[in-house]
Amino acid sequence: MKLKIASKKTLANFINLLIKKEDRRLIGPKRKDKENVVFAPISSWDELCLANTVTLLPPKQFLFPNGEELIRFEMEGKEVKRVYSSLELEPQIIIGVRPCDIHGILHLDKIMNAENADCYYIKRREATLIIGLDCLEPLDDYCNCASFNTLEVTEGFDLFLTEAKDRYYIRIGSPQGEALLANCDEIIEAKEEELKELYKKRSLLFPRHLKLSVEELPAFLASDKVYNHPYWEELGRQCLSCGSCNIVCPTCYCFDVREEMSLALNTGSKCRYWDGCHLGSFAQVAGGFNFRGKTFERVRHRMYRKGKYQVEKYNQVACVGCGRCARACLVNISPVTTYNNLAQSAYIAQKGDER
Amino acid sequence: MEIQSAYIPEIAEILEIRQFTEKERFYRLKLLSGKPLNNQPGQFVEVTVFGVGEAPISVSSPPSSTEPVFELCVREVGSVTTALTYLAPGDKVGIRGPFGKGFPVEEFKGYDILFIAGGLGIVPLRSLIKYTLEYRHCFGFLDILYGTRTPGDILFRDELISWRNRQDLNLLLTVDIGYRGWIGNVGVITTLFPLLRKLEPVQTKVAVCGPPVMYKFIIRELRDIGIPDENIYFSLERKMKCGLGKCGHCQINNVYVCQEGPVFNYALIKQLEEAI
Repeated sequence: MKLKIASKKTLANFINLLIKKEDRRLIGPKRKDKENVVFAPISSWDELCLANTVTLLPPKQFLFPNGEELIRFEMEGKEVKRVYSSLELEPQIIIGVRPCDIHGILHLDKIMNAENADCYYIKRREATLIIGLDCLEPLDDYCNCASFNTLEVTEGFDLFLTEAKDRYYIRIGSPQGEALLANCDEIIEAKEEELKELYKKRSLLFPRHLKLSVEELPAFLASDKVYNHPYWEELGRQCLSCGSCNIVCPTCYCFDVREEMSLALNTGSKCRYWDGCHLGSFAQVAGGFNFRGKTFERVRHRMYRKGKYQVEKYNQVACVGCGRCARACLVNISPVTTYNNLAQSAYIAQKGDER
Repeated sequence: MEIQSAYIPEIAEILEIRQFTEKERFYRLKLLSGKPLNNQPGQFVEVTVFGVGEAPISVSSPPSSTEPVFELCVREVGSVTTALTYLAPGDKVGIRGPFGKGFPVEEFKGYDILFIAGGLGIVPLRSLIKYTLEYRHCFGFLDILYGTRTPGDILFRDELISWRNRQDLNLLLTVDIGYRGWIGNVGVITTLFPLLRKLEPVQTKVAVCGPPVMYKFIIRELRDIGIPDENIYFSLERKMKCGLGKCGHCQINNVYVCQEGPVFNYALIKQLEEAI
């Protein structure tokens, strides 16, 4: 993969040119208020916030929008006249996507392309270019990419920026990415060694909070002792079932399907809305029976889904260590702390058995 | 841009509606495409009442490779199933599916079959029962245990009478609460086991469908008789929203019921926490 370099000013000009071209909208991190940065449409380089801040939500919403229309139908009285599916696609470039979020997108790519491929996601993804943004230091204390091996990215982007003082290294990740740079004479070839030098100190700056290795996580969770551990009930007493963790997660994609009618009752649509397995009614069936009626069962389901179930299905741990769920949680539940506490108490219990 | 999507339902016309009980209705439908539904016994479809929504419903008719007609039996319990009660013959609904894995009828061939239905569980089991009656010579003896809450909740009465008159089939009914005029068994479904003829455990396949609470008690009875776990098949109820293994609502641990179920071999799911 080719490496280039540009001054900040050159990159700014390049981004402004991309915006001017108008064949794709540009989405990037933008300051929403004093505390929060969000992914939003960008109309100039100055609006971009590439500072060390984690966005409130991952860029998932631009590939898997909340409330996406699945089908549309036309009615004449009670009679349905036409049912079809229509997709409004807006070609886009998402800039400023951090390594953890690129891993999140790669995870969704895998799932949405698996059996019963999701045409909506796939079409949006195909119309999207990703310009990643490297992390040279953790954005805050919640960052856990080092624990989940998601700091390094080798795919899932078209271009990838690494900031170095007043310049940006630009890694080319795809022919489309390379095409974007065509005719930008001021963006020149760079040496790999320079970037390696930048990376030298990096690993020391990213602490591994997770006491298990990510590879041993699924096997660890497979133990009955861990599944039936009383710690889950303790978490269940804390969890408010608010579903914030689901909403901010780059790899959560569960959804509800709802039907909506126009006021004139002559057209309607079926739309999917983000849903969350932490919400009380998620596994409830008609008639009221709830297959995960207890809060602790739902906490456990999510932690197992991230650390075990998705691995069994898609061969990938579904936590990318972005830390958003822990930041959003009102009672400070985090996957890393949960796994660590279980590992510690399982270890203690094991020692106890040996005695 | 118009696209092909797995969410676009086929249109089906309601041919016939019969009110079975206060809450349960029988629907005979016909796919306007003229193609057969091609269901396996035990599979489900997603039924759309346009403008209201979609709900997963078990198919109650046996597979047909030629006719585009199929049958459902629906309990009025949520918004979609209530909207279905407002429809009349000639009205149209949307159908997606059939989805999931049904009962493995090929593996059942050559075996005696014990059907155990609790309440609405008779609906998917009827598809299998009718299939075995259609290919009667392929199967051994058939026993059907069917329990409902009250005598008034018994579904498919005409068919039950014709089944009861057969020599090659043994039908046992029970109700949780009897009332005057009911001369049959009173008690939960497990109270029928002592009335059952002596089964050949390894020669018997069991198909079970009922409310979640029933399964644990059924397993105990079946183990007492000596039926191997791998001969037992359960149909599990979950909230399938998409039918495509994506929306997450029907997930039991790492298993998507809409893909790998709703019918499961007990030996394969007994380790699965939360399943039953």
